[in-house]
Amino acid sequence: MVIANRTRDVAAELVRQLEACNLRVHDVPFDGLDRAGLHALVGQAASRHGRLDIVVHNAGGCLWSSLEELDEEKLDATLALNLNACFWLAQAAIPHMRANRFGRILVTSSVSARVAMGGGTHYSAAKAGVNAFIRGAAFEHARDGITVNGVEAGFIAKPGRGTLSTPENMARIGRFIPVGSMGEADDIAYAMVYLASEQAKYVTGQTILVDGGSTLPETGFAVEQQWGIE
Amino acid sequence: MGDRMSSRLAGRIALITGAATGIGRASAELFAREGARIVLFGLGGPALDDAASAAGGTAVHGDVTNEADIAAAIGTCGERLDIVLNAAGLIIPDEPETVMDETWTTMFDVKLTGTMRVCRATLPLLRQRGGAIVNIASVAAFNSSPDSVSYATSKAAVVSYTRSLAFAHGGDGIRANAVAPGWVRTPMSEHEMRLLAKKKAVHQKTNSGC
Repeated sequence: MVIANRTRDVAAELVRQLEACNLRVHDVPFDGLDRAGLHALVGQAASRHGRLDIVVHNAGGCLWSSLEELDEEKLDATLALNLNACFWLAQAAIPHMRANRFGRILVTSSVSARVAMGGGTHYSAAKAGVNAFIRGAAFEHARDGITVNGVEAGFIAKPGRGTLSTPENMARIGRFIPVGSMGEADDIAYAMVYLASEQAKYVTGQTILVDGGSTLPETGFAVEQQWGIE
Repeated sequence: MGDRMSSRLAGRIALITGAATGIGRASAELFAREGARIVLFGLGGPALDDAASAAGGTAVHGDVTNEADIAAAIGTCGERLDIVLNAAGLIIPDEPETVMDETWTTMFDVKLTGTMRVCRATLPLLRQRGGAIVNIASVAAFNSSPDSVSYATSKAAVVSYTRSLAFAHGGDGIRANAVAPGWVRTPMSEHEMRLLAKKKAVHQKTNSGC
């Protein structure tokens, strides 16, 4: 396993934890989200192990801004991280995967690809682009033993981080979600491990929604009617 | 890698409809390997018994269009139920201009209404501890193909029904999801393939003037 994280000390801590479970893990620095930087990153991962089977593009995020105030810097950075990186990672990984007739390209997408949140128009557009990337890439490489899939994450709690994950906000958000609470990172990871597995060989070009049912209600009124929102 | 199994369903009780063949049977065997105890419900006679012995489960012969049969299957599950998989299905090719009321009604009765009946009857048990419902839909719910008007329409309805179920019972700890298979080699799809091949042969003969 090779981990690339912009915040190196977070990556180093993860390496320590995984090594404690007797896993071979390395973290590698990477120099930016452009084509050259991501190609170099994939190259490092492949040469370290002599092959590459699975690439997960989980890095993502949004520099929140209303549409009216959005500047080029925020738009470009959001597209580069969420969407453009898919292209460069996949492009670099495909030759290694095709050589072994096995590959799994996985992307963390978001329910934002299909529903709106104020201040995140550019993020939604990027994630909708991710879903289209998944379909296109899956189709082109379907005969190479490479599948391309994603997980559309709903509200996932990051305890200790982020304003949405304060205990009060988590409880409040949970009331709007059919299963009654925010999700955990593991909920996404279990879907990823399935998509990465040999057993998922007949699944390609898809995203699995892991959102606790949050995209089911027709409107917020439906939720209020069902469970009451005080 | 394929044989390395965890015990993801240890201690769970699962009811599987349409369990004699195909996706229902494969799921019954896999669920059993993951630790679940299975009640296999459906038509299929000896094939259902065979599937039950392969899965180490209990066969209940019956029809998803019959309330009493469904009640008997649920009775066999005992005091608790954790998982319901609705895999009972059939396929009768038809086209918009010539589809018969009887075909349309049968397709909806088995696949959509059958799924609804099983879910409705199992919800009180599932609600006690929470659980999972999985309904087999089809890619036909989203993409069209020849000769499948009542099949595709009823599968689209299964998707919508599943969403309503998930929304209404999410708060009870019951998750409801649908799986939409593409072409999977099962006795049902082999049957459809044969029908399509036969029809194609007729067309070719017609077009060549024979």
